[in-house]
Amino acid sequence: MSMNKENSKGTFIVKIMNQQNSTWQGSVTWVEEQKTEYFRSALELVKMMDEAMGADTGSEESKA
Amino acid sequence: MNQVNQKAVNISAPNLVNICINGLEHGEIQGEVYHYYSEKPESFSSVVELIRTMEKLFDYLMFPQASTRIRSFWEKENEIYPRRKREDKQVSWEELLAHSGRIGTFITCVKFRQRSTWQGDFFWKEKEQKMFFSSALEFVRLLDQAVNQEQKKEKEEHGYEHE
Repeated sequence: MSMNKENSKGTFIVKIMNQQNSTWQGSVTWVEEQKTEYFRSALELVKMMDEAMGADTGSEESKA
Repeated sequence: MNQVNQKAVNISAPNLVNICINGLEHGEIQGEVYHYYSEKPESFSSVVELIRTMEKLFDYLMFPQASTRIRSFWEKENEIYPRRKREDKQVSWEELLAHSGRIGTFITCVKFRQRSTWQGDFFWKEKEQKMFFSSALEFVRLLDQAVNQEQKKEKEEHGYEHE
């Protein structure tokens, strides 16, 4: 699977299932890659989408 | 201008940041973030960029240490956690807190990173008001509220908005 370092576009379906700890919990589906993950906070959601779009989050990770 | 009340701000926090908001364009905040480890600020032109910058700083300092690891769409190899970097402060607290934003100045201390989010407080310099947040979402909401309040006030007073 080829992965662009900087994906300029993406579609995410966000399902908010819970609101605890003053934040959101739920699942997010990255439509183009057909991947779904759960998030425990709005911060986690934003960071996951940011990383998917190729933002430099400071960590050097290999992406399969 | 306003003397920052030392008691209101935790100047000994290594991850203290001074968020200077200079503009509000199409609902997006713009400005600069100052911290102890550089004289130069980091610019941001959206709230997402602000969050990204702050998280990067906290991850780099490993302070506050996060109780959970942020999830990802990809499988990651087991990380070997590096030892916390003991960075020397490059600026004094007086220099850090001296900067101000055109619309507002928010001196923020993220005390904890529990439940995959932030907990802490920020001091609104111009209003001398301290606000607490128990999630990053709440932080964004409060910041947004404060900035919009200022914007509205300016419009009423001067008949124009900062662009």
